[in-house]
Amino acid sequence: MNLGLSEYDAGQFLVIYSAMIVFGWLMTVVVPMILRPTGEPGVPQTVGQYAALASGKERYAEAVMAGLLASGHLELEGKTFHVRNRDLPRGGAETRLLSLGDTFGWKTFVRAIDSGYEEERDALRMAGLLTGSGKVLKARLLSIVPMVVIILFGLYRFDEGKALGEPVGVLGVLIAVGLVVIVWRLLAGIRRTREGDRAMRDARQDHLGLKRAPTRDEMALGVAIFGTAVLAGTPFDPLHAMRSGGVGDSSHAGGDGGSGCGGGGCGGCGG
Amino acid sequence: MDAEQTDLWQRLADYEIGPPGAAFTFAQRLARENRWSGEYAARVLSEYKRFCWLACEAGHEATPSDAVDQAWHLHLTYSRDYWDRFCPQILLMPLHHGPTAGGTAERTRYYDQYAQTLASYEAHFGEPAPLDIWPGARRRFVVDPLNARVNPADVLIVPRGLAYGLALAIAILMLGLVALAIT
Repeated sequence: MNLGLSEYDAGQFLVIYSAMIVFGWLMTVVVPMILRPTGEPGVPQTVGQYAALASGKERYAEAVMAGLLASGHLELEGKTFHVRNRDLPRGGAETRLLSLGDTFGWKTFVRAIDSGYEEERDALRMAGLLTGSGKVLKARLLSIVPMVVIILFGLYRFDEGKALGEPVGVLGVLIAVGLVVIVWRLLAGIRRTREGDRAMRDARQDHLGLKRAPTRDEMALGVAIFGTAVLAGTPFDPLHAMRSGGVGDSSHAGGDGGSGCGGGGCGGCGG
Repeated sequence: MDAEQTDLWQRLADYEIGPPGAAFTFAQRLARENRWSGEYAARVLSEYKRFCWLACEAGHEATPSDAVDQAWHLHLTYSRDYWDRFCPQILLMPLHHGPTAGGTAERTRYYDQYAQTLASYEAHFGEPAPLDIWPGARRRFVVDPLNARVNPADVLIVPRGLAYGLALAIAILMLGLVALAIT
């Protein structure tokens, strides 16, 4: 079969092929948006559900941990969590966690709350805010069809170019990029339904103030919706630093613990 | 409680800091000492009054933003005005300024107070505190404490963006010169 590709020199073909790769990538994004399930209107009922809906298991773990640190049940020193108070009125993941021992690391913590996360995730699926594991397979497969065709086309030109003695290194790289996009689409999956997306947009809008300076009671919800970035500059900055791989901002404040002034409240002294 | 319906707020809103008819007003001094525009300084002054209301009525110790704190610091230097008029006649109570004693516990305490102050602000004034005067925690407790007193007669102050842009332009120029020299 001759597709007439040899009419284009290597440079011209690479420009065309780059555009095709971009088109293929766009299809892997747009097609799932069109085909994803509508779901059911609803609102997450717990902080854990907000976290699970926002970003999955890691976010859920971060939100639970932020709540435990803010309530004084745990303290973070370096990369180790220390139990300071075992008095937890509620059941669930937190109670199981505090039965682990006096100190533990992040991975142990995540394992301990695994079943708690699954409960919240399943509740979101029942509510129609998260997609079921098998429901979006068709959308995933359809979204990669254009990229598969583009890669096959590229492989054909790759062979033809080699036969003509043209340089094919850049084309090989573009084909590899296309393969990475396919693998990403298949692995990343499609988590939220359309209604789940709407619920998350509403949550971000309704709780915008949590990004500024959440109170202790709001800390877990802030992390659930916006991630550990809301902890930057708070006393729980070390958790954000640990999770983001940074050194944290507390070091910038100097050894005196930073700045603050206060006053009022029955005319008392603020500091 | 709607703050603006209270007698305390009416007294605060009507209050003018400093001697009446001063040629150089409190707001002008606040603007000059902080290199702020007159409009921004006036807004900070308004926020300072809201902070004072919260410090008296919110039911918890209040912590200001850095900008509002600058207004408070300056007001304290008008000591006769602050202690002889403002506190006894407007607030009807002494409002002491308490700087941090340092350390992690103090930092935590002031963070908690700042977060509570922002929450009380929204509850009593019916709107969130303006972000450019009451910034987020990182700005308030990490970036703003880096402020320092600088005399522009002694140093050259260049905004970071401009400095980085200039450095990049010089690097590109140098590379171009090197490339020309090689060829």
